[in-house]
Amino acid sequence: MVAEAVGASVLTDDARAVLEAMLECVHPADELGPGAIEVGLLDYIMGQLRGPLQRFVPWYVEGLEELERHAATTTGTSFVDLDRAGQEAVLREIESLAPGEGPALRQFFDLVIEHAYEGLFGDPAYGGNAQGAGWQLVGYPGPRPVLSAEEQALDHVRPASAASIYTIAPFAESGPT
Amino acid sequence: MRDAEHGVDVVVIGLGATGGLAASQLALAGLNVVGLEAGNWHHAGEFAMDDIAQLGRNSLGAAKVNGEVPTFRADSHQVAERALLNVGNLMMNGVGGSKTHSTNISWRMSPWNFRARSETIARYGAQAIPEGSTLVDWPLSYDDLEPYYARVERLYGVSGAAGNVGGIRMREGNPFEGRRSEPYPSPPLRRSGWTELMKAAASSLGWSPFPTPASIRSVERDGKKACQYCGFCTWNGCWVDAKAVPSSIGIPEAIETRRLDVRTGARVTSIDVDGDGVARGVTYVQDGQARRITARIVILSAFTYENVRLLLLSTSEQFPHGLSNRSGQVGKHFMTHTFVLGFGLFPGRRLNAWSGSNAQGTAVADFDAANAEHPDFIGGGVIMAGHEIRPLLHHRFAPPGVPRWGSARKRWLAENLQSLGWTYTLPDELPYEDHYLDLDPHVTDDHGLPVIRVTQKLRPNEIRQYEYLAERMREWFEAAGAAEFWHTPIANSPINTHAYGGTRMGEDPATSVVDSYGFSHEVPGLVVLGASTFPTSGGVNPTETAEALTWRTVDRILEIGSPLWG
Repeated sequence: MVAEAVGASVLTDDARAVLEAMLECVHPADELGPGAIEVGLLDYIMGQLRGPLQRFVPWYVEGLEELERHAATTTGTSFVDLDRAGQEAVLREIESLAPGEGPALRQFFDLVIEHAYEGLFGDPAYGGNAQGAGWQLVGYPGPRPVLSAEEQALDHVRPASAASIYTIAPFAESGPT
Repeated sequence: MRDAEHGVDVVVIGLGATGGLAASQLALAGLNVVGLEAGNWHHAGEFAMDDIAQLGRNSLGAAKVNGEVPTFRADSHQVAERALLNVGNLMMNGVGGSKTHSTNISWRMSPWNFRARSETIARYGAQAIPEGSTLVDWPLSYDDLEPYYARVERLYGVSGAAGNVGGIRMREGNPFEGRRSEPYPSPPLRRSGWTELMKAAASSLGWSPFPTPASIRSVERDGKKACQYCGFCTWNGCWVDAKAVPSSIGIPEAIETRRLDVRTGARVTSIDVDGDGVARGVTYVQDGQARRITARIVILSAFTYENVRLLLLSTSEQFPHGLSNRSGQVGKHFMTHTFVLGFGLFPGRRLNAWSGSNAQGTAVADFDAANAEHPDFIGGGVIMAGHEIRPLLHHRFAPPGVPRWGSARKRWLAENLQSLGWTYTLPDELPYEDHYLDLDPHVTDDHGLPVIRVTQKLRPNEIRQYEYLAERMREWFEAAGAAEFWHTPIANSPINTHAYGGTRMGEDPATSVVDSYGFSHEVPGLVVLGASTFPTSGGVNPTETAEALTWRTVDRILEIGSPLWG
């Protein structure tokens, strides 16, 4: 089950733009590999918010608004208009907020990080980890039902695979729920 | 409510490791048994190697976790809060229970554990018992339980290497283990580069490493397959059915005799007693309907939190403070295992530790029980180096100092995740007067019934244990050549899958709830199974001990027969 078309309006276009910018800060494109959007982290989160993570939609709506407000207040600019360094500075500020100063915003950032890494390392069937980019990044050979003794030897290298477990028997007939 | 059904010998509440074993063995022996399980049957199609489903959404366990999960507070001055952790709460409903998705490491406790109080006093004096601890000896010995450990291991094809068979020391096994009557029925799970690296390191320190014992088949047996080392063992069921879960071994055979009736989606809401305070059956809800069933024996085997909760909810004229609770002992002497995870980096090495089961490991018992000299704390635990480094879980365990996001984190993960090894330990937490389970005064479940509230915190004795064991993990990784070592913070695991006490066993009804067979002191016909009966937690995983006690109880029920019930 791949995420439906990413046009559905769980979030407004403006909110999605802020989330996109946040995710690119969490997992930037660099010499190690593609960044969040190319790897499918936005697709992953949007797909989940329409389904199993529906209960977090209010968190995202309010959190993204709050982030915009925080950026406007502290920098005079909207989050999306800041350059990367400026955006990272805002996020670092949020991380260091004391408990009384904005716990919801801090918790929202924690949530985005949690979901971003799910998208990065999770099965590609859910819309993230595009072309197995997350697995390739860390040298993880991908999930398979049977592993040999040789594959458990130190320094053995199994070629990286981008294959979803749902393309491999006996799970090829089913799919993620 | 429908009319009560009659004519059943035994009703079993919960078909997990203990209830599933009891229900099937009693039925196979000729009794008529009804097994009530709140969850459903699970099947291999649900067990894909998919960490969004298994870790992220906890597809197997979320219903139990969200429906039953207790609230937690450190002491009685605080208000308890729901501990809604989706990852980490390794417990589920289902036929077979949490054995379906747990790692299935399978230990015998040490002879010392059964006499922890006497042995401590003999060695260090009574003042060594920490203040406020209600540490006691068990009302049975390791030798009493040994034949049942052997029987469980034989039934399930437990895989391991024995260390002491009939008093003969066997080099490959645990030199500290209690004397066994027979070796393991199956060889250890396959060795790997990682297990052997850590074995060599332990040996170089003068420790005595041995393969972690597992209730997972290492070889085909009775037409059933062996472990395929897929790397998704914990929080997941086994797609080849290699884990020794009651739904796979025991229950199917018992159902074939037509003397075991398994009812799923059946949640018990109270245990019923008659005017003389004798257990007479249960009330349960299935398909939205309340039903009653009478039986000669009621076996409560719903895991520690639910065992206590159901007793406290089952009030009556005879038991106004909860069933079997005139003594006030229900909920008392609660213990848990705070896991400490140790990590080491081996730069440039590809450990391939994401494969396999975490039960595929190398263990040391040199620091369990009283195997080492440590007069400043009571307790100890085994330390195990295992498998299943899973990107979705283990990226969280980057050492302090690695940013939680951004390019620097990306670089750390790219350079290090494949070179990350881990160990874990589960120290022996003592029981204390003010660690207990009761009913939360505010929080209820979907049926409007109060959930369990846990009151418990880390005490100095336990903190010293963790620090000691963390240091041993450091030494182990250094001997193995790790460039860097760190461990998880020493902090309470609020709601842990290893949970003990609440219906502890003992000879004195004033300080215990059941006897060594799990028979209630106060309620004829009521039997409690599981780690809620344990007087101490020990330094190993609990399941095999709970299984052995269960089988001993089954034998006792069959031996006594009708005098058991009123």
